Amino acid sequence: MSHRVGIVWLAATIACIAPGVARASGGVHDGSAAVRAYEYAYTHKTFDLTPAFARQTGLACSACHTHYPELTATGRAFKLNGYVFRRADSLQGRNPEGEQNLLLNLVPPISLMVQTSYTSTNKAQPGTQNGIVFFPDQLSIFTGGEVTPHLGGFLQITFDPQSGSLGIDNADFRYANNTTVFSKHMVYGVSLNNNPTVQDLWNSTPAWGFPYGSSAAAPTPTAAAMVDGALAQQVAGLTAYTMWNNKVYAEFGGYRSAPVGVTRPLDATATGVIRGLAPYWRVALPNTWGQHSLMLGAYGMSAKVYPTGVSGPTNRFSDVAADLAWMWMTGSNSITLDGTVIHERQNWDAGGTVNPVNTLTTVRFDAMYHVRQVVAFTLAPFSTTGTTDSLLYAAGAVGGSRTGSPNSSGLIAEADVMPWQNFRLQFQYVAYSKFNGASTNYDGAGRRAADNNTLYILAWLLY
Amino acid sequence: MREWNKQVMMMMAGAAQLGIFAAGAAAQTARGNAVDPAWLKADSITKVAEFSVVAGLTGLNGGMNFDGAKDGGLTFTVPVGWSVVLHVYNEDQTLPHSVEVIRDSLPVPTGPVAPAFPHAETSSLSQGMSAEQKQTVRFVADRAGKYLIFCAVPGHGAAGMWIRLTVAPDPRRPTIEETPNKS
Repeated sequence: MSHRVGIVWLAATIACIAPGVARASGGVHDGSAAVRAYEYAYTHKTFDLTPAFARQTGLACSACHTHYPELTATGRAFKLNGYVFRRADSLQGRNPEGEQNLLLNLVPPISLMVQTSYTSTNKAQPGTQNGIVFFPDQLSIFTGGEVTPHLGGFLQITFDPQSGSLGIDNADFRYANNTTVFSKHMVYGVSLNNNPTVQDLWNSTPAWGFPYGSSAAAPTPTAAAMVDGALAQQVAGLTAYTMWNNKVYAEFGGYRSAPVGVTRPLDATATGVIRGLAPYWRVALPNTWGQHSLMLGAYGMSAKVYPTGVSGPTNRFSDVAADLAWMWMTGSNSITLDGTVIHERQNWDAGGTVNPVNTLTTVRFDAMYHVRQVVAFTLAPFSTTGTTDSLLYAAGAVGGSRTGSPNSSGLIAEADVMPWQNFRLQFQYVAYSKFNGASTNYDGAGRRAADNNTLYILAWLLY
Repeated sequence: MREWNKQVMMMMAGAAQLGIFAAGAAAQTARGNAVDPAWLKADSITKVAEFSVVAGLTGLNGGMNFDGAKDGGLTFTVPVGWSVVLHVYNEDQTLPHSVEVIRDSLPVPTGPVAPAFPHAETSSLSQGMSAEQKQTVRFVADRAGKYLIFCAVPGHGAAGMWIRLTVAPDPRRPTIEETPNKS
């Protein structure tokens, strides 16, 4: 799954931005900006599908995914119940009293994903070579599955070709059990994870949302909400969840800063540190009828963030989002529609912006038609609008905004071919009608939004 | 046995006491202890055969079984022309399951296909019934032949979650019996 790995950079001045903290993608950042208080960068994403799970469950990828990482009902149930369903042989141990105290997969729960890609933008970024080849685009090792009868997990370790380093990617470990409440079946559990929404069961939320694979080299819009990937791998969260009667899902928990690749404990050199705990909540109402399933939901989180260091004034980000996920299975074909609307209120109490309060609203939908699990076609419009702020969104070549506006919009068209369930060829075109506030000369350096239109060809291998 | 099954058994017992079930149509049980006679009730007067189909009854195959059988390890047999009622219950606490009666063809389909008889399927075949949900499937077995009762949730049938249904041309009573796995 491609998820956007983002970084929150909270700095009073550009000089305060800690280099190397994160995996920012090229071309997005404007080095000339006086203040970049909140910035988001896309890189590639990772996937909640692993052949390790297939080996444990004895089920083909298509049992749990329509179009990985998009989950089927079986996939959602597998995740909800803690990744513990198994059909593979296991090694069991017992104590002297005969009680089971060990359960290990006989097949090592490890799998590998290799991606290679080609990226071409409509117009090369100034001073750079167009037609970018990544080999690998992403190289990930997955492990996970059942640890004990009620405890399981998912862990991805990814090699980033731009930093040349191997690092922790998405992680979700959970305990799950079930009971009966009001005469109905109820699953309950807790999740320990490192990315808000990575634990979610539907592909309408940011961590596992479309696009499942996107270019790490192409320019992408600067602004994004906090819950929209900006905290990925920068936090650790513990959430408690429950699904009652397969019709009501609720989750609540909190996240605390836990960035990787920086000195601990966090000190005055740190950036973007959450003060205390950032609460996260999620409700969803799934239902099925005939060959349809529909989920309507909402989620959100709120955080007070130190621009720099671990004390002093903070900025507050409050995100509230609605989402839906609809799936229609028609024989061996299926149609899915996923979407989310995220509204963020930003209180810049620590200063550094023109406005004390800004807002940001992201709307994203994707409609996908899967043909016999071999071919898939997707159209995905997206839009981000928000308050104009010339300090927050300053001018700068490629990644800046001449108007100080975060507004961006466009359409993603994608075709995927999967001759085998664990091999995918992805052809994606991203067309921008507006980029960082304008269609023409959006960056103040004469670049058009359409210049960032991107052709992205990606090959995936999973084994 | 789950509460629902107990309720079904009690209802069936009560119905039998009221004379709804013909005395001579009691289920023929198969060899071995794995088959529960309560899974089958038959009325030779109205020609109705009722089967209890419990998904995930045991841990066999990771719970992907019907009445504790997989890969055709159980066979329901009804005379041609009888009405069949499948009381489907998902006892699997982990995965959703569905039931569809299809023509006997191996390998088993990876997902829903056209049912062999009209209405011989649970609703939401692909999505399945979640844990502890139940449905009743009613159809008329009006064509003799061999059929499969399989879980149409993608991947489940192919993973062995299927048993057999035989519609016999000779006027036998409904039976339920273990059958050797042939997969």
